[in-house]
Amino acid sequence: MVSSPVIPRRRHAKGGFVGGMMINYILRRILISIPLLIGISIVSFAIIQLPPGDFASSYQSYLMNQANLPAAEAQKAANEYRRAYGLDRPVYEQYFRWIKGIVTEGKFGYSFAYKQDVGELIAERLPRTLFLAASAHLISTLFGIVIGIYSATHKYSLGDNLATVFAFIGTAAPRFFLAIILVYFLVIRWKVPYVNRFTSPIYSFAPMSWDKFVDILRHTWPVIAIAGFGGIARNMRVMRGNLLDVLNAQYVTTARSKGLRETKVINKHAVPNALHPIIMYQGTVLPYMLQGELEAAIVLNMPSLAPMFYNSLVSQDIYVSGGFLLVYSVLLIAGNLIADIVLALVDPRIKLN
Amino acid sequence: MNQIKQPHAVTEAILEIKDLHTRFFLEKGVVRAVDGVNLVLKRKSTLGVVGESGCGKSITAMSVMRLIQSPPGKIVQGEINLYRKDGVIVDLTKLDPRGPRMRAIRGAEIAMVFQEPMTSLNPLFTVGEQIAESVRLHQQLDRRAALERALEMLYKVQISEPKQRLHAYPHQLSGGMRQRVMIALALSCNPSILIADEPTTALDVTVQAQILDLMRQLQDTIDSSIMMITHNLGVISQMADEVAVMYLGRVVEYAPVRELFHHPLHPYTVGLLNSVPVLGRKGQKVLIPIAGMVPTPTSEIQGCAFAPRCPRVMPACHEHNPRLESAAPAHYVACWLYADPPA
Repeated sequence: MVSSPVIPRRRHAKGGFVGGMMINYILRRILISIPLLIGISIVSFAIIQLPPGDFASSYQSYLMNQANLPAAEAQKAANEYRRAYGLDRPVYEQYFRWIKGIVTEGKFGYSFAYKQDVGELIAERLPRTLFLAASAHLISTLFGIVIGIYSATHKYSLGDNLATVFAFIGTAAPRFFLAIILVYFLVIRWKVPYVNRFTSPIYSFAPMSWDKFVDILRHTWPVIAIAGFGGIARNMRVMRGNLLDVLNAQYVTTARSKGLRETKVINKHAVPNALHPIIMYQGTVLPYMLQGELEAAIVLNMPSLAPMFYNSLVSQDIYVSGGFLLVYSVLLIAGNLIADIVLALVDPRIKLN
Repeated sequence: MNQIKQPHAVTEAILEIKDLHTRFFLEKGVVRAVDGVNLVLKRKSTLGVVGESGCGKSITAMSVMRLIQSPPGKIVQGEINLYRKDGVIVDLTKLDPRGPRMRAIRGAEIAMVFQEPMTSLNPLFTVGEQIAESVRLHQQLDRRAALERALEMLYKVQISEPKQRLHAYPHQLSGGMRQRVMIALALSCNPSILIADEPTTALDVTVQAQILDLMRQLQDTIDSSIMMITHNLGVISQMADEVAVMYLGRVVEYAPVRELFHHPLHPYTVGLLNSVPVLGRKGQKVLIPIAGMVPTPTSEIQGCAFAPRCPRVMPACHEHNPRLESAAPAHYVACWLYADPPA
């Protein structure tokens, strides 16, 4: 027997992983993502160019239909436009010019429709999009997990069945359709003014304050709710299924056999083990939320990135589409990286190398 | 009721199970997992509970722990009397399984070691944290003192490099080491009863022997009675003082270990002993299996549960369920061969 055991200083459980190894890992992942981004940029640029015609053709038909110019003059103007912006060059040349601008000057190209630098356009709207997507993400994770825990611990109860029905609707209903229904209620029934804005006009140029924040939430909740709804449903079903599995695990019985309270057994021993798939899935959730934000914001015509992206595809405003797709890919890669890091922090069995 | 008529045993008993019935109410029918079990666990002794898979031995243990999942499981009848150190007798079946009184007993007075060491520890916490959690819960100790107690327990279960192991996660340990940790966890609050449910079944043979050695050594130094559940007669012969043989939710024979191995009375016990090889046993070249199959668990049994497979079956066996009764000093058997069936 040991009379007075001395507790050794706790070595860091992950063997210094938080320090050097972690930074090393992140750097390596970022390096790996560079060729990936190059690939994505090539493919997306090629796809953007696939539809026949270009922005100059839209310009030409605009001149003919709206400005009543004769066809020949409109054709001439369009050709000049093409020459001025290099649209008459081969696709690969346009691509290299675009990439060169990004790498050397940090410029994402020029938007024909907005007559503005694409980088500025994105910088102006990206924070709004991120705010909407992150809020949707937050509520979908939070509500998804909480409802999932309730469902799993009250299996086949009324609440569980209601949650299941809710989840099926959430996964099955197309978001643009939900958005249309919401628009109907907001505009026709409830007569809410300024649906397609982030703030009421009085707050437009006001500095950020609590009142402004509340006002923003009052305007943005439909988009957040629609984008988050499907996420709640998915997270809830994943959480429910996993927790049911984990509740049958031997270590949960061990925890009960210690005499722990049932709430502690569930919250400390079962739930953290059931969170894995939710965390892993975070990497794909961010793009999913962006997509949800995209659909809802297009229908509600919110001035976020989404309608701009949509319009750029319609009018073949190529650098806007390309810039958006690049930003979208970066977010996707970042989301996956963050998910991997969080998973490694949560689970001692996972090593980042 | 078919109780054990053994007043002497009751005075030195620490746990007494009387006519316990635990059932599972499933869609396909009612499973009578434990169907009238009578057992006595004596103070500071080891009771071996032996039987085939599905005979209700684990369910008996889980009933004692009040860890039967409900629904679908339920204790429908019987008593589980715990004789506490202060002389108070508590019937565990009367307690709320999730209530504070049962939780104060679970882990502190009755602790359990499970069959699957690979999965019985939470992968997200260190070994030390998991032992300390139990210690902190039942003994008002701070985190540091609880970890010291955990380390002390790791020394006791003779784990190699206990100071390092204290901060190891379960996946960093082998099956044998994890089972040592489970034993350390179970004994960390000095329980008066340790229930070991097939503690060595999932381990390599050499590790099995080490764990059994450890448990035997610990038994000398601690104050616990052990209820050892196993299907392995070899383990029983090494570990147990008394043995209860179970068949289909009932105890068919109960005797001191030497008595049982040398003079088995119940045809099922005889069949069990004939079906395992014994080193150095002369005169017997072949192992004799028990004929027939265990009936489906949902069927209701009239008479003796073993009658359909019994080589010495009599008409009375199909009519009446035999009680566990004394056939020799300290030797109890539930069989009409040793008692007069009712007319």
